[in-house]
Amino acid sequence: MNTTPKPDALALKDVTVRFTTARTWFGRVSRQVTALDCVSLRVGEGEAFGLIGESGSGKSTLARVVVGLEQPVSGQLLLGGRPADADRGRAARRLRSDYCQIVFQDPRASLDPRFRVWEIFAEGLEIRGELVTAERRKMAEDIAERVGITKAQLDRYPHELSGGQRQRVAIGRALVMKPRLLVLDEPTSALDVTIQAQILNMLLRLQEEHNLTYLFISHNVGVIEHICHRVAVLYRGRIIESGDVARVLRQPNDEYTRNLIAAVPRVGTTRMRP
Amino acid sequence: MNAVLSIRDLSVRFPSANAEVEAVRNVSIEVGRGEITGLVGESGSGKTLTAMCAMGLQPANAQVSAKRIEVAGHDVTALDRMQLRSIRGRDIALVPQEPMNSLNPTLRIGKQLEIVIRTHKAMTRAEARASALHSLAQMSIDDPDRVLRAYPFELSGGMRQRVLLAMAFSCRPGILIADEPTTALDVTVQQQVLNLLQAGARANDTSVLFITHDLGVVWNLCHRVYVMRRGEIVEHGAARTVIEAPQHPYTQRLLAALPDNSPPRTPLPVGMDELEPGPHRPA
Amino acid sequence: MNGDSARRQRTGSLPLMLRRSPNLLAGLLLLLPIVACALLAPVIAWHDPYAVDVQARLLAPSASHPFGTDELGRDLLARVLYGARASLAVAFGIVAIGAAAGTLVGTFSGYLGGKTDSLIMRLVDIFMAIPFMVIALALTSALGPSLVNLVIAVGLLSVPFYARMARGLALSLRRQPYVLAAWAMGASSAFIVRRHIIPNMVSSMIVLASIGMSGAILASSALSFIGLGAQPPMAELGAIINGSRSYILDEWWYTLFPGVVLVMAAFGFNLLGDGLRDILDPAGVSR
Repeated sequence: MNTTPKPDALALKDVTVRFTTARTWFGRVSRQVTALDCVSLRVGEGEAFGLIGESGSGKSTLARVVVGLEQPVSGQLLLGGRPADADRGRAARRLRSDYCQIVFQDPRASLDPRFRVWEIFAEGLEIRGELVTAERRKMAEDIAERVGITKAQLDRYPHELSGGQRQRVAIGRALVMKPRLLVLDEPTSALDVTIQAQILNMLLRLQEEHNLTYLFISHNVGVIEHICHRVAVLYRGRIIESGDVARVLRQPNDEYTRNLIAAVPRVGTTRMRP
Repeated sequence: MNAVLSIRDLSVRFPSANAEVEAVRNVSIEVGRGEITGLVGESGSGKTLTAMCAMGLQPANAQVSAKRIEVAGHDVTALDRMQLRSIRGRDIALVPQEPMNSLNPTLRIGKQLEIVIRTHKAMTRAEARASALHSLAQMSIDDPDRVLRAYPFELSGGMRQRVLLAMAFSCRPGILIADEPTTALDVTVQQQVLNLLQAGARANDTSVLFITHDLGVVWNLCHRVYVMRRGEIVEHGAARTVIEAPQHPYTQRLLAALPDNSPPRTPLPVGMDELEPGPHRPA
Repeated sequence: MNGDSARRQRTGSLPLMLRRSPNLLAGLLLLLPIVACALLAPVIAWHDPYAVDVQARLLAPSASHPFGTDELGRDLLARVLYGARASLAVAFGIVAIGAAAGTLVGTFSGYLGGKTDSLIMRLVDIFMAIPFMVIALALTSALGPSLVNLVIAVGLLSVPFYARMARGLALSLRRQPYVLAAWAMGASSAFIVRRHIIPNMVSSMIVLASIGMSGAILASSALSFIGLGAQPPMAELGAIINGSRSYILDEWWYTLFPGVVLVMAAFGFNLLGDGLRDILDPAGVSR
């Protein structure tokens, strides 16, 4: 029997990203920051892959590289087994956005305050100019149902919605283009615990329903442990440790990982005596 | 009364376009000497507003009524502006949420500390400087001289929060209100700041009212806890007891919603009918 | 959550907005009478502003001439009303040219960023470095003294004022996550500028335009005062004040009435601008 293995939803091979922080008078680069240093990882289809790190670790940069908002200076990025186009043109961007979408952390800044909710959902379609307004509106209604946004809320503006509702809109917008891979950059970090729970439940359900692959970035160990199958720990642009989520988070090999996990105050584990 | 902070039946109303919004309703809180007390709630619960009332820092259009708001023996509601200013810093101090925005970006740290110290104690500049150095050293800052000479933008978030803690402890207040002081910080930095807070509280005989939404921090740091929801206290008691055996359904829901408390990749037990907090705080 | 409630109140009713911003109320109180009278000048003024009556020269305010008359016997009330009309129209023209051109230039520069932005901004800086009056004089002399030329000259001169603001806004807006999301979905620059950048700039630019009206009124009056804008016998507030120079000591009404109207208009637009800012951006931070 010959079974060809399914290609990974996402694969990075030695991806390096550098930012220029200073230039000389003549435009030549004088100082750079290495945001990602030879990062490699693989995410299988239908998997939820977690990324843990502190600020400056490069986790947001990694998210942006995957969706094409940043370009690596070296290394390979494969989406669904095919190399991602380094071309920054509109056609290349559209192709990539068909495959992967991103959900940002801040529910306030990720939605245009001048767009009504249904327009936000339908923006991907509006950009492609494929459907007329009425059809776009219908698609928006369909998506709204799937992410728990009521019909009345479709005509509202983002500032009339709560943080949790806005994050639902952001997730809905990402899903309209029917992506295979969803990059979630701290999607629940700005939300209350009970709202976070609702959103996490919804994310789990959506993953089941649509066989989505998640790249889930968070600094919250409890959330990562709950959602993800595997996890990688980032420190200063390098992957320090990666593997099965239960193993990495409970029996970390690396000292940085150990300190990171130990620093998280959790119910039931004592670090400090009051 | 052994309580350093005593709030009895506090209610805060905001007049708004159609009706009055009651942001805080009959809240009573006591913080004893040497205690670290947590005030837990989600957004819109009124926890920050309650703490601000204790210092007389509530918004101008807030209508406050209380049987008693007592800080270190002073009745806050009966004080005029000058008197309020004199107890702030000296008897009750505040460490706010965002260390980036709480320091004056145009003054050096040393100058800002000096101002705080000399406002409440008659000291020469040299004495104040020495006191400032001592406060910074207490917060385990290795090179206090360099920090004194620095501007806020030269320091990291964690360092700034340490400076704010040093400022708060500098006059050895009876009670310190910490309003989500570590929310914006990295996890390892948060651990350091919380340790320093605990150590500083012990060293200066300062009680702490710790406002947070993070139950993990409450478990680790607080002796007692008050749980607030929509302007009311729903449960209170010893921190470990309340968390291990919550009595009120809201507290139970809060704990159940923590992903830590459920098996991986299973739906968390929170209903869809859980109404999200509405606009409790008009501008 | 604070910002939410603040913004929810932005789309309130007019009385609510007025209550929240005393600036807005004061500005409207000063401006509405002037604008109304200027628009209704042909209806209100019963004398012809250009009718010369040497017998009636330099008369003090009276029932038939509420503002008095000038040295040619022309009714000052009519001249001030028509003058306000001219001044407002000129100011509007200046702001329209400046704001439109400035927004385009600034948005283009800010959105593209990089070398293009640097180049354009340096040109704008050079433009701003030359004293306003010098260029205004040069331009109007070159084009010929007339009101239309004044509008063009001052309009162009005010472009940097709007361009800098527009550029700053465009720079910060293009980094917003919703712009990045649109870009990642394959939106063209034209789409992003049209649907995301400009709509989010409009409220700030309106505030700026209102304050710009104030400056434009003063600038056009200043130029007319020195004879470069409205030519006699045209009625324009600055020109009228110019004509009153020789009579300022004895015939106080000649300078006072046009002067007061001018000040009210300029002050009114300033307050209006502040008031609009109060209600459109209560948090004080443009998004």
